[in-house]
Amino acid sequence: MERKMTSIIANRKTKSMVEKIAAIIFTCCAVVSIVAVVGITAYMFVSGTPAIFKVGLTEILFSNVWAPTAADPQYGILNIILTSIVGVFFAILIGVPIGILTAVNLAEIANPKVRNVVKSAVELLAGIPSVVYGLLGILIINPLMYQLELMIFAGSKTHQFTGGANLISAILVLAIMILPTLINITETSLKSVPDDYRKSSLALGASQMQTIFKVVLPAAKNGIMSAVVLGVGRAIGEAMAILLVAGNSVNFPLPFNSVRFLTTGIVSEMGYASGTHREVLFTIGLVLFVFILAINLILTFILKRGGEDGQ
Amino acid sequence: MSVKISSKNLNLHYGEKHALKDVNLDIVENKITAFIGPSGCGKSTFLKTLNRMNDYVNNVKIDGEITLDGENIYDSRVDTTVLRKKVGMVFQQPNPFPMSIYDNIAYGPRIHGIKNKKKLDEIVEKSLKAAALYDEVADRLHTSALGLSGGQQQRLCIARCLAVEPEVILLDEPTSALDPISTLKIEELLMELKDKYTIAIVTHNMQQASRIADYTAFFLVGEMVEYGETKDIFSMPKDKRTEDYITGRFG
Repeated sequence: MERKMTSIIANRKTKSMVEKIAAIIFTCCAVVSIVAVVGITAYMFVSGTPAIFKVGLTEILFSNVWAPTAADPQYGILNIILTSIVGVFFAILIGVPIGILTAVNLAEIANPKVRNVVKSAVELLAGIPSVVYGLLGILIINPLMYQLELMIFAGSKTHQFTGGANLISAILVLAIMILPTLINITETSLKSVPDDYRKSSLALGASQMQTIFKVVLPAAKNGIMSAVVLGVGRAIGEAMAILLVAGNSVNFPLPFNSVRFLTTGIVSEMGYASGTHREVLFTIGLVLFVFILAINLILTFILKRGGEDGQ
Repeated sequence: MSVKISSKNLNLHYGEKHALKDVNLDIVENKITAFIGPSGCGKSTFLKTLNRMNDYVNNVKIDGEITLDGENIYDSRVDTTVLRKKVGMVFQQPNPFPMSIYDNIAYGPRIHGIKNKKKLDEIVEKSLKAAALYDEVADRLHTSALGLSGGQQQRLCIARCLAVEPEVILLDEPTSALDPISTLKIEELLMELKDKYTIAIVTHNMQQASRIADYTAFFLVGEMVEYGETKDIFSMPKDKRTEDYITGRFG
């Protein structure tokens, strides 16, 4: 009796074609994001550098006179850079303690009912469009700041009244906006701390608070640092909300000054800028881009070091 | 021979599950008491009631009384941090904190308020020596404790426990994650420590119980079946179930 043979060689060509094409499609998809990153980087440098050669790097970075439309235009963005740095720094200073303690509450203390309420609040906070934060800032924070301003500067002849649209307003709005990032990442890293650490600490006679602050938080420090760095990234890149609440004129970043950030600097003038002015706006974009790049490098460094610790 | 810890009519429920049924047992000072029994028999649960680590498990209800030197540890006025300072615990998995060896040992004394550097140095050295670990780690006290071997980590955990100067040490299967040589070292260590401390150990390993324990209690589905001197339990058990278990007929 003759047995019907199925060749193991049959269809090899068509099958391997399908496999290969699928692999190529996947690779192409993966390449898209690389192309995007490389493209953006290249484009930022190409479009951001001409103004540097025309105006001069020190003239742009270290002069504090911003008068792009004057007869004798000046393009110093020092105040804008300082505003971004100071604004983000204080937003982090306010946001980080609140964010970390909220995360501690969620991960370590809260009972399931409270946790669910807080978690959904935080998620909602993350989903609110930034322009809405700006609107709320205008409605709530700015009037309060104006009252404060009227009190503090009553009778002052030199102070330019801003109607409450000032640096503090921007910092407060930013601090709230970075909370979801801080809370979510910190909570995740607290949750990944092995329960053994808590048990051992409690078994040694430590109280719950001692356990949290002396064992759990230190064990989660890499995650918390990542949260802070990502919070900085979020804050420094935010434009819409602070455009609405910060007053948006170029000034040295003092609490009650109307100020302009790197992001809002671009947004508010790009519509009508031309020539060198327009090119300088691209240079501002480049400066912002370099900041973000630095933040990401720091983050990579932290995560890598965390990996080497074996935690 | 004085009784250090005494359990009277202890009942424990996990939700609907009746996990410990009327346990009556006295733990004798400066002796090693072993709890044996098959998985899920309640021996670890019982151990955890002795320093109230069950407080952190949801839905636990405990009735009855456990006294430490005559004081009920489930009294509402009890400060669990003081209780746990007196009744230390070593867990199944070696679990040093992700800190240096020194900081691991100094953690307990520090949370109990000792700040003096010289005093801490002394405690660290004394505890490590007591746990027979000092010679192996003396030159790297300030390196991470996570770099130690499993057996060394477990002795570190014992040293960490000794550093707060407990009176009782509870060990929950302390050698089940370790190799035979590390196990032997820990057993020798426990034999030395019993002069100063009262020791209660949960173990899966009957040979271990017969090697080191003065008293042994046999648990089965939440019941304390038999309790007595180790040599009696292993040579002439009174209860049929104990005999079946120690002769390897089940478990």
